[in-house]
Amino acid sequence: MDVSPARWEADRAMSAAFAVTSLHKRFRTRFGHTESVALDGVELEVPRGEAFGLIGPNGAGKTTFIKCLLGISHPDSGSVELLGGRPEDPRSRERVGYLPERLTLPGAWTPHAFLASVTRLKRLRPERSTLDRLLERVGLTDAANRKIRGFSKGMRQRLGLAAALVGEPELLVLDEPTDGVDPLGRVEIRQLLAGELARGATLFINSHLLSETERICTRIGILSRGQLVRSGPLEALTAVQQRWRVRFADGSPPSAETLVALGFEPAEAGAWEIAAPDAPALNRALDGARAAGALLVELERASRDLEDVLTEALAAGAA
Amino acid sequence: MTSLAVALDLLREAAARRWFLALGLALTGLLMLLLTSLRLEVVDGALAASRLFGQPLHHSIQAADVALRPVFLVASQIVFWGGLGFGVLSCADFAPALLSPGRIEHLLSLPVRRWELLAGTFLGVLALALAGAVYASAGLVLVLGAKTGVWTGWPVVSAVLAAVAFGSVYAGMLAVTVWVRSAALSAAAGATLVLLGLLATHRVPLLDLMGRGVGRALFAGVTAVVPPLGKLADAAGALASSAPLAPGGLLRLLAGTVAFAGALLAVAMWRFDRRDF
Amino acid sequence: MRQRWLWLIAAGLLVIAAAWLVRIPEARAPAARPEVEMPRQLRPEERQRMLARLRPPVDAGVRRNEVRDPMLAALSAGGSGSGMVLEVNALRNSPLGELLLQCLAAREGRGNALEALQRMGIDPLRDVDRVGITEHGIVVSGDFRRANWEGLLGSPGGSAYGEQGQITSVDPRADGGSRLIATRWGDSLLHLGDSVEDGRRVVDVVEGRGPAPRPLLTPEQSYGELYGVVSGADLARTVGASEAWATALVEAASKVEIHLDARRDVALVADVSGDDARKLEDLGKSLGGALALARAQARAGGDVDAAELLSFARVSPARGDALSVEVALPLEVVARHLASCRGDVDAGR
Repeated sequence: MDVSPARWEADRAMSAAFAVTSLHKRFRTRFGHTESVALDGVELEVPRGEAFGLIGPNGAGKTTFIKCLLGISHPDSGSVELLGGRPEDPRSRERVGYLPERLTLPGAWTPHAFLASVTRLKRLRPERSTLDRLLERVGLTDAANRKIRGFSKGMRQRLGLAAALVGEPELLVLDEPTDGVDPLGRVEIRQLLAGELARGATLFINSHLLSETERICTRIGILSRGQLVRSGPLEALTAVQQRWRVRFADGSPPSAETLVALGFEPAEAGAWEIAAPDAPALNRALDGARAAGALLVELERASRDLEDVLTEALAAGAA
Repeated sequence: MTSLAVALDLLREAAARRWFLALGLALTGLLMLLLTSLRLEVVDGALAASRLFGQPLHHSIQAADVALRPVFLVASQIVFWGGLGFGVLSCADFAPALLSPGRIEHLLSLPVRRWELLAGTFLGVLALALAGAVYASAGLVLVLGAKTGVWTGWPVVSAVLAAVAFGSVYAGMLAVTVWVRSAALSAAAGATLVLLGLLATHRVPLLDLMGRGVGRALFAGVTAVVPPLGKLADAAGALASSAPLAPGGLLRLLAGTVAFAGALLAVAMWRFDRRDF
Repeated sequence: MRQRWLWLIAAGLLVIAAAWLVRIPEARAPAARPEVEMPRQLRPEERQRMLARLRPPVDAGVRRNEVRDPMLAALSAGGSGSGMVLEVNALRNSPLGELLLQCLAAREGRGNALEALQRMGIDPLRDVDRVGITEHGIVVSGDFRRANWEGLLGSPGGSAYGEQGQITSVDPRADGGSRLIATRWGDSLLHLGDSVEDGRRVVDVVEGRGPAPRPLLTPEQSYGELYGVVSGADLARTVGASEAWATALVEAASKVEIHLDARRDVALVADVSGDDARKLEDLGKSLGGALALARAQARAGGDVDAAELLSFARVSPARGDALSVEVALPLEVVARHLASCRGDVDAGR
């Protein structure tokens, strides 16, 4: 049933960026036999204004998930709500910017022509100044009038990103956004995405580069064999409970053996870690170190990197 | 309107392709050649003498518009059949390119309805065919009109018929591509439809030659629906050469051709609507 | 999902519509362009007719391997460069035939040949096969067995000449018409001329005596309902110089061979021979322009049929010493042009 435009706008403003419920998708052979299970009951809701990173091994179903989210593929069952509407509704997709993993660009066109085309298809009026700004943001000003067929992989990726940014979308869905981009370029892209976040956009990123995902995203989801095995804030996922990392001033006593005897374990880069079930236990350990002459310069909760989280999640899933 | 945007994008794409550049150059070159090397002497409205590259062309002296009828007839057939063949080969990969991984996902993520994508692709190719046919015919009319004083718009109308015929063929090519993304298969589908269109033209005598059986029933069923392209070509030739033509019959034929194209497009839309990419 | 299936339903309906629309037969066939067959050679029935007319010479002294058409031989007898043959038998049922016969009857200097024939007991439309016209007279061929020669020619018999010839002077009409010399050959050929010498020459040629004159027309040229040759001199007298093409025709042509098909509308082929290739080329252009102009005028005047038939008019370009003109005319147009000729008939009555 069609919703009135005013009601639709109101619903859209209050809703999550997207919400999927019990999403199932199987790939079948031509004869109807199930070839593989791509999504197996995925449930996920991403609030507006968040940067969400979806990670997982190859074949986990990440790209299939994105395609179901955007209506490019149709799930076998379950529901998808995109910016308060259905993915099939063009009004929902108007506010989405998508960068596919492998974007095919028309080689004979210039970046201006391509962006103008995307702008028209987004039902907007292409203005030269707007397109120039977009190209400037992605660092392609110098190549604005060159044919795309002469672009490097990184330049194509930047142009794809510029296309995703057309119309200041509310939701940016980026599949491997820094693929093929040089390290400096990645920094630029991260800054660009940070700017989009600051604008109020929601980011949904699928990337194999876990370090990039850690730097950009505030929430993480781990997909494995079509199931969402972990999901939550990045800090919560990577934090290690009941373990702390401390750093003492260089050259200050006590000796390493003294600290080990007090329960501290050496960590990388001159830091120490200690397991303490609660605050009093932590303070007792710290008091002991300070009594031995150590000067405390840094204290934080110990954390794992995303790779560790992923490995642990996959192992748990396999078990 | 979105379909028009898709169609315009396709035309921009085609403008950059060598096939169409070559066609445009070839047509323009041919017309320029005619303009500069063909000399026609018209006396009191009769085409009295002709020279091509300085060599006399032997023909009867008769009223200029009558003398030009066979020229327009031949040109209309070249535009019709040549256009069909060229179109099948050169347009076969537009739809597969549209559906290519990396392209289709991006397009479907935009606020474009699936049927608008297909419709835009079809309209773009149709516009391409129409532009080529009309350019060739109008160019010939202009050149010969300037040289003989005989001005007629019917060859251009005849070119429109050729474009409509190609539209029915391309609808089939598009439908096949939605199932199997292959330029070769698309071209094969187009060639098959052209052949079926020829067979449909001579349906009745061919049926008389066939013995009863599944093959005959199949042939009868298929050719009952496929537009008789030969009749369309004859109508195009008659229009171009100002021959008598039953307007009612032509309109029915055109309507049937458009309906056939519409049916194929509707099947393509049905399949495309739920296809996963 | 329901919307998706609507596409399939639409496809089904469109397929049915397509099948119905392209298979509907045309209620009325379009009016085809009128077909005009230009007389260019003997049609099969004309060839049979021609072969049936050939006769060997009757004179014992002449070689027996010659065969000739007595009518064509008679036409050649006078040595004239012009002669026309009207296939009366073939034209009998055509509308043009009546018009031409009326004109024939009004031909100046020959009196009313049809009346003369009727006085002799010859029905022009039943007994007459062909009528030939030359400078030296009119030749009529056919079946004259029923003719009452003795009683109707006004004299006991006239004089016999040759093997089958009979030359008789025919009484003038009561109103003072000129005297006719009737030369008949057997019961199949009749020559109406001015002099006995002409009559004798005709019999000589038909029977094969003496040197054979240059034939005006060969049997292979006897196609069409009207055919013949007009010399340049006769052309100048007939055509005049009122229009540019007429002037060019008289200047360029030494001879014009004409064939006319009048089974339906009139189709005329005229092969113009001349000595000056350049003049012939100019003539071709003038004639082509005149025909195109006539067609344009017919279209402007709303005469669609005439314009359509005139679209068949063409002039083949001159090759060497000849060019060919083809014209198709509606019967009404021909009738208008023959009206002046028939007007003399009415005035004469």
